[in-house]
Amino acid sequence: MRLWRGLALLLLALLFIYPLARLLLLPLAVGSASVESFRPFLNSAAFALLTGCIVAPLGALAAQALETKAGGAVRALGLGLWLLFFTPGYVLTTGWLVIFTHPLLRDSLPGQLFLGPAGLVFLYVLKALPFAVFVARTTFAGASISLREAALVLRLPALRRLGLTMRLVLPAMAAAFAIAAIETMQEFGIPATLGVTTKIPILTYAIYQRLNTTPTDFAGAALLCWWLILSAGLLAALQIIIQRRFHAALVHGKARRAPPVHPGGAARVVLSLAAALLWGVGIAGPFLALLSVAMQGTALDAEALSAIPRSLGYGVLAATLALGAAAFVLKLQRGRSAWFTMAVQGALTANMAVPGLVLGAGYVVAFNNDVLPLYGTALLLVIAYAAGALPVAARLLGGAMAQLDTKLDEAARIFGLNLQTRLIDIEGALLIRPALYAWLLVVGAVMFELPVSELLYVPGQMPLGVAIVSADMMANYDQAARLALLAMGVLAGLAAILNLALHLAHAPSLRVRGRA
Amino acid sequence: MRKLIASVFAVIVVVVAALLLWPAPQGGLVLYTGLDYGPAVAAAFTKETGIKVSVVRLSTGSLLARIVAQGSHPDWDIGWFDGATAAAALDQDHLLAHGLPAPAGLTPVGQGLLSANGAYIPTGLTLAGVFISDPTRLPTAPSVWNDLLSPAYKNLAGMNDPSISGPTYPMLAGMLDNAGGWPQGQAFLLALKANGVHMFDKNDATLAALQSQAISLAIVQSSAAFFYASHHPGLRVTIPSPAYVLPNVMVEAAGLSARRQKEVARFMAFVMRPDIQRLRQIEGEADGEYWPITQNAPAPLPGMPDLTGIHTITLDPVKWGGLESTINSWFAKMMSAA
Repeated sequence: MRLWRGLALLLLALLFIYPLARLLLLPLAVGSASVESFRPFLNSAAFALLTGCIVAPLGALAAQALETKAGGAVRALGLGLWLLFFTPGYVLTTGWLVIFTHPLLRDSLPGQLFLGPAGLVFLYVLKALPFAVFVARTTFAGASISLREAALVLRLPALRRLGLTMRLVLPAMAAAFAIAAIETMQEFGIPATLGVTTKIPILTYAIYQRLNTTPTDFAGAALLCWWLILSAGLLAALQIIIQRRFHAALVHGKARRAPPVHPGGAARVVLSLAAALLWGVGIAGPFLALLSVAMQGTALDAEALSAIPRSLGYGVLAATLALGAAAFVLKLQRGRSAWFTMAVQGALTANMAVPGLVLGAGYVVAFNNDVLPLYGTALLLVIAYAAGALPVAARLLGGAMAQLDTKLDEAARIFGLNLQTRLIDIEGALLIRPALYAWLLVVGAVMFELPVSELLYVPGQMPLGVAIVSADMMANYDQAARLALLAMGVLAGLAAILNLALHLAHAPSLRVRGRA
Repeated sequence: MRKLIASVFAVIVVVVAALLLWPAPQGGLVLYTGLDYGPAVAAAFTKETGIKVSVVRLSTGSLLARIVAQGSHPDWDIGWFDGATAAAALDQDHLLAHGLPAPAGLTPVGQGLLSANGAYIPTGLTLAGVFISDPTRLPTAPSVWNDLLSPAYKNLAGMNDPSISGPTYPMLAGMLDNAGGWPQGQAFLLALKANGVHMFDKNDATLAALQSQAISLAIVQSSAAFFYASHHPGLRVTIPSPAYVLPNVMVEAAGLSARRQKEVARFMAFVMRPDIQRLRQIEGEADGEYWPITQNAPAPLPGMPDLTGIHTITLDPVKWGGLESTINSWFAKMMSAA
């Protein structure tokens, strides 16, 4: 068993760590790369911290509402978050750009604000909010009613009860903060589409400059990546400290779930307003604008259309691989030394912090040779997608797995249950919801992924992200909009089917809810 | 039920993997194109010759990054993009084959675009920077580069960022050359900044700013300007004097087999045929707005002026290609950031 684990770790290191490490070590080999200005780094760090600070508490509050409250406003909020979750940054940014580049609106105060730092923060927050909610939801979903009952028996005031709940959700908030901040730091699509990078230099823009100029400066780009990794490392360390200080085993065999209650009075008004705001600014505004663009022009050609099922397939494979690898690594972490945990977290954080263009270049350099000639195959593309998604998958799963009582598995072994039953009927059933969120997130992210696709896609087999950008480059904005909207429809359909499957599978939390 | 759903899911994943990951049969040419008409020309070539052409269609910057990352193990055969400076930079990295056959029947302008060692061949030309403006908001368009420094154009002009938009660097090189070369030309660019020139990422962003009236004059590649003007009647394209030539070029990966080299040569001759040049114009969207450089080629698309009436200058791609990184870094530091 130990040998198999060792081999699996070796394979993960070869596929997920070696390519990135090889590229990141380039500045040491070349020795001539240098950082010219710290302004892009400071700008990126400021945007990341601000986004994290806004998104983490908002995400926790929304997650608590979704898991503890019932009613139409809650359902609208939940559905809105799912739709926002699947909406690529490109759609959000382009949709709002269509609105604010209208001559009448461009010179208005909202227009001026949108085409500046405020617009960037607005879009970053919109994009990061669903992440934060889904990370925090896993904690509230696992929370037992006994905590609330104990608080009521002890006659704790409502504010104190909320404080206790928030203390329990701190690890999830820390994870949401770290994910939002790191994702914001390495985000390039939103600022590039918004077109503000020339006025507000950011770190990913500086990296892109190094890679988009001739001669291409990979060593310089790798050196700048180290700043991203350092920042992400600090954020991840903060998350680990909070997780260790405040973690609690919430999911166990005796956990009883609190039935959701219908909010009344002010709470209902606040929830309705929140849902309306989310639907208005996050979905209706950009979608209707993009739909108006999509309605013009000619029909989609077959080649562009074929990119949707192809990228959906890539997404399915990459998500399955990423989640499998994440679950394996997280299970392996249990009971190991702190050094092992730190090494795993370090590798995941470095991977998460690095922009896709650099990650993709690492895979080209590592696997474009006679020893491991994977370059030019769809397999390498899927592996690179999975590598890019692995850190987020691990973070989304990590919170839920940390709350699983280890005694569940021990008890199952004592009763002689086989591996299949333990994996599917016990751990799988308890982790199915966070795993589904993480899986769908990775599928969605891979479907619209651009930089890794650009560097690694197999000639003649264009992925969706490249097809959308190609249509944009040819001034076929209607085709680009139609492709994006169609792909999102496909994703929404997939999410609906899987949620239906979840109902059929009778996950324990749903069964309890059904009885209530 | 759980086990059944898990089994169905597993079967779906295996089927998807088999469909997507099964290695496709090798063979044929691999074309890396940054030009809109690349896929249509590849399809026509396959139809006529039976030789399969797999296409990678990307922006020029991403295309070059992909080529450079592959280094001496290229998975491409032919590269086709705007900019002899980029081709010269690839050649300096020893990534290109030499001695490519020059296209037959080149005009004198076309012959002036050939590389000394045959590392690339020109397949047509555009102009690196022209002015597109709205006459209702800007009655008089500038006619020479120095006009842009006039108070009449203060805060009205916009251009692309050369770090993001690959074809913008040749325009920047042209501006610098016109102002005395590098580094003397820095003064012109700083004066341009002082006169309030706006900076956008790429052609589409700059032209969208023109349309939304954020600017009244856009400085963009000629192909983008003519294409945009043809779809937005009322806009005016003015060609500055001098105008700097930006050829679209074709390159071949170093180290191809003799058989593959023959197929590449056949493709290169194919794209210069009059009927295929017509196809490039029709299917090329913005990139179709180029000036052909062979004697038997079709006329440029309607709306494009005769090249003989334009004062053009062709920059030395080796000299300016070697300066690209330095100039772009300086530009990012001094011009891009507010």
